[in-house]
Amino acid sequence: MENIDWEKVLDKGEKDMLLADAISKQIKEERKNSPENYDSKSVMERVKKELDKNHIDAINVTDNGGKRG
Amino acid sequence: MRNVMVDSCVFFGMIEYNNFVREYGVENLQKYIDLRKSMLLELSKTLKKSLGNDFIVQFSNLSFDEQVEKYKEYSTNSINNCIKDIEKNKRIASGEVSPYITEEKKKKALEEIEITTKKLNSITPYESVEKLINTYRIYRNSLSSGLLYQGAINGDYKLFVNAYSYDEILNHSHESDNPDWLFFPREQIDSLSTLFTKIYTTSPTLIEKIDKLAESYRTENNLPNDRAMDKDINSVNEYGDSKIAAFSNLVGIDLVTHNAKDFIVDKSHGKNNCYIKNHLQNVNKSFEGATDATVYTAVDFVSKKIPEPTIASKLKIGSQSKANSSFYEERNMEL
Repeated sequence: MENIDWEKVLDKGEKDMLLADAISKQIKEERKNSPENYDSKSVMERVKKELDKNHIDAINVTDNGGKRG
Repeated sequence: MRNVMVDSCVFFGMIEYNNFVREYGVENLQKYIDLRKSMLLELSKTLKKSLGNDFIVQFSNLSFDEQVEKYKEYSTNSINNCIKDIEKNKRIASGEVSPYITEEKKKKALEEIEITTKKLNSITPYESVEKLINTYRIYRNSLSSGLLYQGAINGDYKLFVNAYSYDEILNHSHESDNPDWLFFPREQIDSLSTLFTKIYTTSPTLIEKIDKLAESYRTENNLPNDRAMDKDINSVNEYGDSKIAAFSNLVGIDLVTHNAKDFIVDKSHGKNNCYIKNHLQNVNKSFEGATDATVYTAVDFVSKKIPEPTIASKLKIGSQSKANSSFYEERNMEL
């Protein structure tokens, strides 16, 4: 356990976590739009932006207040 | 061991924990979960400070998660009420309401303005904490996925996914023609799938039954505190949510999701209600072959004492296979 760089591990985990959240949001959007009026490109762009934005926020929060191993 | 049906969003949330175990071993999972818990605790402390002591005390009967969901409504209403109050007292103090206002009343109105302005300044506008709330939600949901994953590893939970959810999962397991498509690599999905039993059916009569129950979930009962699910067609051209819920119910396994909005809460009536869940349960009571299995948020499922379904499924396992599959097992269900 001593050899694990926990900060790096948590950073990688956060990326997976935020990707999971963003995909879930994409799926929600897909559920909300019938195929006829579903503009996938604009939804994807919005979610991807949100993914980048949220990631920065999450890292900031954990760097300020989170306890790293 | 408790059976749990997992919606696509919870499945995706588990990938992080499975990736960790693949790289660092299951013996380090507890430490990873503990770190995630610490981070969530720190986030909740920061968030509590931002929401303000007045709010926390006023809604001390609610859990912290319920308080978080309540804050938008509280903040907006309180700010609007303060502004109205200040405007009213300004009109009184200026003599606009009555030109014969006494000095005493004028003084009182000015004092009220001062008190209300102080209160207004102490309320954090929702927009200022929105990002923090969203981050808190993401961490909270992730941790609940992690606890379900850990529970499955420890033998507390037997994980299931039904074919309707799995179609959505597969839809985000590869790069599509759209360059903005978000996805997890297929091998990460397949690796996590080894913990899951997939439930599907090739039986036309069962498909018809699922469709019928799902349709009832989308049809209003016109009962108080009871609202139907939305008629949303998902990316694989299905009424995804209602079919996921219907199939889970018919096999008699509770469904867990991070998506309370579509399965449990009618947000047009505030955030702390179970109007959609009530609808599902009311429909189940009169639907031939339905069980009392229902839908929970993953957060509630791992943190509260949730009773197990009591009505056994009438479905049979038509065939069951382990070979040539990324799943622990696949079950083809029949009526």
